[in-house]
Amino acid sequence: MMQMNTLKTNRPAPDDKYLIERFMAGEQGAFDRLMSLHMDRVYRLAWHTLHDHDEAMDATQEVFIRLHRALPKLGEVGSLSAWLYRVCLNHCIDRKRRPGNNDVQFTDDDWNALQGSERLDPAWSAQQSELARVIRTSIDDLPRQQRATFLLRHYEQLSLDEIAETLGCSTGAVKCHLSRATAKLRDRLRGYVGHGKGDEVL
Amino acid sequence: MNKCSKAREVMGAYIYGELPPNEMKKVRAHLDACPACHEEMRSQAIAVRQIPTESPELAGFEKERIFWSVQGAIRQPERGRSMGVFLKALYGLGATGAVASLLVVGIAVGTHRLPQREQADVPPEAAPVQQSQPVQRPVVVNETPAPPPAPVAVPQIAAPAPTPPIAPGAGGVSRAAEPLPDRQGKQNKKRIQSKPQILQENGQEVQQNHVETGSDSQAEPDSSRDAKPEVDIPSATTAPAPAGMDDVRETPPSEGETSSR
Repeated sequence: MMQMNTLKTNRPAPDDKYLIERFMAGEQGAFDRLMSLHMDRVYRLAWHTLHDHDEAMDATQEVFIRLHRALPKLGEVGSLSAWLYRVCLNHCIDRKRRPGNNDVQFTDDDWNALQGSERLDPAWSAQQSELARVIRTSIDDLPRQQRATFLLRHYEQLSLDEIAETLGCSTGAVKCHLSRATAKLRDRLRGYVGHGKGDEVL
Repeated sequence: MNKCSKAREVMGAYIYGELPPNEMKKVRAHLDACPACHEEMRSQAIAVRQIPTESPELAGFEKERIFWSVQGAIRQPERGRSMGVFLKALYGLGATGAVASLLVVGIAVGTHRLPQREQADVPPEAAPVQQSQPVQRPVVVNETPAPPPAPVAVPQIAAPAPTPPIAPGAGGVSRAAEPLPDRQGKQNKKRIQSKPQILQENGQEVQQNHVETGSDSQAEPDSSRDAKPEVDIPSATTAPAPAGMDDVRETPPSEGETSSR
C-alpha cells in the first residue's frame, strides 16, 4: 500500500504533448491516458496537503475535471505536471481552509501504515502519532509558497526549476522559500526529533 | 557575515542537494569555516530527515472510481444542456399521463363492470342492436356463458402487455407500469362500446390481441396507432435512470462530442 518516492517521477512525460494534441483533435481516449499517467502524483500531493484519503481522492477528481475544462484553452502547455501540481495545491489549500476541514485526525494507524511498521508498542505508537501530528501542523502552518515548495521538493522530489515553473516564480525565490521552510520546520520540531547526523545532504 | 546570510539563503537547497555543483562546493567551504552555519545546517537536516517521505498509493479500484467519477462529471453538463428541457417535458408528460391513465382506468373499470351487471340482470343495450333478431336475443343471453370468458380474456390479453415497457428500464418500474392500465383501459373502453360484437366475435378478438401483444410490428395499424405513443412515454420517462449509467460506460460515443470541440 505504501510506496517510497525514490524516483523522480515528476519529470514531464514525453508523450504529454502528443496526448494533448490528440485530445485537441477530438480523441477522448487521449484524456483518459493523461489521467492515468498523472493520477498517482496528483493524489500524492493532495494527500500530503490534506492528510485524508477520501479528501485527497475528491481533490484528485476535481483537478482532472478542471484539466478537462481547461485543456482546450491552455494552448501551449510547458509542463502538464506543473499545471496539475499548481491546480492541485491551490485547490487543496483552499479546500483545507473550508470550515470543518481542519479537524482531520492523523491516527496511530495512519502513522503505523506510513512507517510500514508492525510495532504495536502503545507508548511508541503514541509518541510517533504525536510526532506525526506536529509534523503535519508544522507543514500546514508554513506560509503558502514555502509550504508548496516544501511539499513539492520533499514528497514529489521536484527539482528547483520544476518547482519554479509550478509556482510561477524564479529559481532563486524557490531556494529562498525552501530554506525558510526547513528553518521553520526545524524550529517547530525542536524537542520532538532525535539527534542524528545532519552533515550529509538528503 | 555576508557569506553566512548567502549560505543560509540556500541552506534548504543545499540540504536537499539541489544546488549546482559549483554552488555546493562554495557552501560546503563556508560551512567548514563557519561553525554557526554548520550547526544551523545540521539541525535543519536532522529535522527534515524526521519527516517521512512515504506516500500512500491508490488501489486499482480507487483509481477506477476517480476515473469514472471524472468521466461522469465531464459529460454531465453536456447531457444536462441537451436533455434537460426534454426530460422536464417528459416528466411533465409522464405526470399528466399518470393522472390521465388513472382516470381512464377508473372510468374503464367502472363502466366495464356496470354493463356486465346490467347484462347479467337484463341486457338492455344488447337488445336494441339485435332487435332485428328478437328470437335470438334470449339465445345470446343464454350464451352468456360466453361473456364470462370475455372479461376473463381481457386480463389474459393485458397480462403479457406489461412486460415490454418494463423490461427496458428496470429502474422506473412504477412509471413504466402506470400508462399500461391506460392502454388496457382504452381497449376495455372500445370493447365496452362494441360489446355486442365482442360477444359474437369473442374468439376472433382474442386472437387479434394475442398477435398484437406478441409483436408490435405484426399488430394491426389501428391497434398499433393507439398503443405506440403510450408505450413510448413510459420507456422514455424511465430512460433517465439507466441513461446515467450508460452514458458513463459508453465513453467511445463521446468522440462525436469531442470532435465538435
